[in-house]
Amino acid sequence: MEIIFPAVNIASIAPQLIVATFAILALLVEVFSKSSRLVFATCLVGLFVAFALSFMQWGRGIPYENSLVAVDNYTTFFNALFAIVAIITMLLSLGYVDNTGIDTGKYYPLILFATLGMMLLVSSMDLLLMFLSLELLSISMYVLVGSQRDRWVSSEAAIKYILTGAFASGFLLFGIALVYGATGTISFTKLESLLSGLTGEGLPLLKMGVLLMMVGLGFKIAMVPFHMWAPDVYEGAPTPITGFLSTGSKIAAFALILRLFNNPFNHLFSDWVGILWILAVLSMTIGNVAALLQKNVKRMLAYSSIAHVGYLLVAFIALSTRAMEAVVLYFTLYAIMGLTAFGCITSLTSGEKERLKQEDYTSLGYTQPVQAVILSVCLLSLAGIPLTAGFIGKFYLFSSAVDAGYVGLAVIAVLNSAVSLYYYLGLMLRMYALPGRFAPVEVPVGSPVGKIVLLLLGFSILALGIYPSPLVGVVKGAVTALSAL
Amino acid sequence: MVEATGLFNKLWLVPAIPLGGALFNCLLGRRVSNLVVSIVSCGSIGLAGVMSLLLFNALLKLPPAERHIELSVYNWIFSGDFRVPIDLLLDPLSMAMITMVSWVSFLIHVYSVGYMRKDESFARYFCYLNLFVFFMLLLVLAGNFLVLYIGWEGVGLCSYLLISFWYERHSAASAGLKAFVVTRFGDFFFALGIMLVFVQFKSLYFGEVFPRAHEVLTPAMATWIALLIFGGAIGKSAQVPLHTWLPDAMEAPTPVSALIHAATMVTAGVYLVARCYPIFQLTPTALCIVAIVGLLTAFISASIALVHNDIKRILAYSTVSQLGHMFLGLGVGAPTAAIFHLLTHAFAKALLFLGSGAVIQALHEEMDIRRMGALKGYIPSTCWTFLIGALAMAGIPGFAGFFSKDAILHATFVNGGMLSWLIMIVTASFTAFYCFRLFFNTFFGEKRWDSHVEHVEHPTQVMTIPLILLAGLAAFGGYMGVPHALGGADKISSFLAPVFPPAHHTDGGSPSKALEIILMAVTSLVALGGIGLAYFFYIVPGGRETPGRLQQTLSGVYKFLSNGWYFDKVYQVVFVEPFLKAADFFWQAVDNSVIDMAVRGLAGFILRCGEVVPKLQLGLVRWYALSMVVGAVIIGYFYLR
Repeated sequence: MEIIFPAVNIASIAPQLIVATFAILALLVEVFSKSSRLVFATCLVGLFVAFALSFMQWGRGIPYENSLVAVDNYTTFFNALFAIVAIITMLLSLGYVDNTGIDTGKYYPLILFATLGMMLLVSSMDLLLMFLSLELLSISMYVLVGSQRDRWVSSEAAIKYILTGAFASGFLLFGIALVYGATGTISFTKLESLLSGLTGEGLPLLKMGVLLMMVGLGFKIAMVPFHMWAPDVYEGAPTPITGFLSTGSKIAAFALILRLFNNPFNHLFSDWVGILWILAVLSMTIGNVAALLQKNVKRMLAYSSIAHVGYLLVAFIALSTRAMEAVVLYFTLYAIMGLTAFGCITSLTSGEKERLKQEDYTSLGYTQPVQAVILSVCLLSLAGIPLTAGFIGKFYLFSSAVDAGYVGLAVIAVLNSAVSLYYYLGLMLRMYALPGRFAPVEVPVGSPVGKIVLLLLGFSILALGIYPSPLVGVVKGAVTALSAL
Repeated sequence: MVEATGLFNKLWLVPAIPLGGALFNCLLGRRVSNLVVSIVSCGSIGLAGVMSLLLFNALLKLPPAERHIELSVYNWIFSGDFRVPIDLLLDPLSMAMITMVSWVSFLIHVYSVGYMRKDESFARYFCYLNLFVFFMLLLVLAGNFLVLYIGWEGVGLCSYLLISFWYERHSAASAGLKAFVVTRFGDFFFALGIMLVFVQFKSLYFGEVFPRAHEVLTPAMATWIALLIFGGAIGKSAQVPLHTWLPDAMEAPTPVSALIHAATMVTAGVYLVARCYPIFQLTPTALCIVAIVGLLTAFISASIALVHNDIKRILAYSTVSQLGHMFLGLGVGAPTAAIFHLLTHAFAKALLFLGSGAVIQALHEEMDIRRMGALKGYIPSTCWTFLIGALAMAGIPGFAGFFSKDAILHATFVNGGMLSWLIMIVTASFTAFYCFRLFFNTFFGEKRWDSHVEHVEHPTQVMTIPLILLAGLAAFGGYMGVPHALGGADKISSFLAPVFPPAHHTDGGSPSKALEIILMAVTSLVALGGIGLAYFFYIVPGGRETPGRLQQTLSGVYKFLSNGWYFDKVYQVVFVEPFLKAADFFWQAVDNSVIDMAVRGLAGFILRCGEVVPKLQLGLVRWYALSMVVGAVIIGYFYLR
């Protein structure tokens, strides 16, 4: 039998390959050397190289021609974004991992595998690759969520995540099967050309398939009504992983949805508008309302991240170029905000004791001023106060919705932002409330590297709120690839 | 329109450098010594000043028609066809403003190093002060209404922070609040004006608004926009009837009063009207209102200054009065004269305030001029520089204030009519009188010091040098605008002329030189008369009982004036008390019973939901799976229907 190797253009998927190579390399390093520092360094180098490579790939996309992987600015942008998100997650994990009994030899390589899943997910041009990369991402995440083996909540969260996640994957896979059954192809490019002419009998089957796929993907982005797992998992996961999960994993799945509805399923989108309208309202409202009274800060942020999915849907419904720019811009800004928020919680861990309850934050502004200031900036940004990145992001989202005629939806979104102020500012107030007596001065906590990273993140939240145009320019460049198919 | 090239590309540095200083003082100010803080803050303003001089030099090399440089620094928001660019505009008007603002600020910063040397919050003070200069420079360099508004609100914020700088003092905290609320009242109209501009022009960019103003706006619409913008100016520049915050703002440290409440921020309203002059020119009604408000303010506050005894409040009312002069100048079609007066007034009034700061510190926080006197022998440098400031303020020929005030009075006579000119002549005599009442009472006569003053604290070198430099400006600053009637070149008018379209440009060519010289002579004589009267009242031994007797015979007038024409009382009775009563009523009757029920009901409902929604979260995986299936079925029903 003759085996024909497909011609692979290795250079075009170099960032993904590098991440995969270094992840495996790190596992080997772990076998031969017990130094967790070396594993850490290997992973970090891999991510930096991947970032540099995607930086060089910018603007050098190649035509699709039924390829499995898209090499365009959209992919490149997200490759770079995920590399940065992973780098920040690793740096923030530094002190935390050593104190909380996590097996570092597996932890860092798994972050790389998850990153590889994200990168492949956004670049996939084929339903099967899409499913495989999503599973790679999910399975890595399951393990990461449960990596604090001696903590009961961590294991419980992992079990819940695996069970519900497997359920959602079932939906997704069945959806893919139905789409294949209706059209006879799994390639995005072929789907797009087929669907523009598809009517009659194939259509209900296809629509059923798309529906089931959306259930599976809706689970990944924690959209109401598929959000139930998020608070439990976010709460139980090791805090740096919560940040990784709420930014990288969510963004990857959402970025894929963007590509699906801009290219292969574009003709079906009109049916989705009404449904997404309602789901956006539900996500925003349920997320914000449930966050109001949360005693646990990680749970509060979990609900807030559900609300942010709602904000993203507000603009997504418009599906115009401008709206896509707004959504991708918000991905980036939300990644920074999410990493900052969970990074602050990570950095406030002293020994094994994490600050998870709202009460733990009383007068933090006086005992841990650096983290308190950064967290305050981050909360203001999440609430969308001007001169922070969050304001710019929300402005672009809501204005593109208004531009497309969804004024009512934008109004609901703004009202929701107002509700969200209650819990964001509530936490902030708590940090700066004068206690009856001054709390004893605590020793500074958090690793110095983590603090430096947090300072940079906090600074970038402000900087992007004042001077967002360079980032907006890059985002515009990334989004052009979406319509160029 | 000229695109920015070369040096002009660096225009953004002018506001950016002070911002850098503010950031440094904010982040690191408490960790470094006061010396470093002083060097950074004064240095950053000084650099901005040097930068503005370089730009000035470059601008002068251009032909007058091309002195209009626009720099779009970046787009803040750029989404679809909606753009919010950060535009800067350098033309003769903003050039004159940034030069004055940066250099006067620099001198006041240097003075502050000495004045605040014993204060614990040294770094906080300089952080606010640098931040203020940043916003002020942004305001005058703005190339569109939005940037201007950012600067406008920013200076308001800094003004609030600095008035309440000693926030432990109740009076300081409430004065800051009063200033903020009253100016916000004006800002509200300004914001409406900006929105109206956007509705009319679909743009906030000066380069698109002003050149097209005469074709886009109907006269009625122009009047509305002009009046709304002027509403903002009334609040910020403390014009009648919103002038009441400025005297209270004297709670701020004295250098702050000099910088913000005399030389720069309060003149922002004048600058704003001058900037929007193309709109005001379309509407004689609005110009007339500007002139009337300016005239009334000039007269009323000069009369109040006659009888006040607090050294800083006299200067505050004097500032309000001089700002009235500037608005009168704008109203009677002499914008260049108004800007000229803005500059000379900034020098003189900054000098007087800094001098008064030295006096106050010399006598250990004494502010009442009845308990001063005879300071000439103790702090001579302050005394003589103060004299120059007072002479400039009073409009004595040769000093800075004379030329600019004369230009306004001349335009008033030509365009505003005899009556307003007469009122201004009376005001001029008031001005001369109160300046020298202040001067004589402070530095001459016998010691009337409070018993606790054991020794006079001498101002340090860093305080006297700015005084001397400002005295130089107050003495000779007027020579940039010597009128043609006196054989001068009136450089400032021809420099500013390209900014203001010539159609209504009436202050340049005068109908007759003789008339102008006669007017000048009258003004000068009146001013000298005011000084003479002050001399008679407070220096001549026989005249010293006169003020007391006058006070008794005219006690009604005296009370009327010393209560500031009862503006605060009237506001108390007409606005504050009914407002409080109404508030009380609404609180008790409406709020507690109706609105609270509704709001609490809603908030309670939302919070209740906040309790219920998580309860749906049972923590059971089978329940999560079920919810996904149910969700999928419901969505599927609507989708596949």
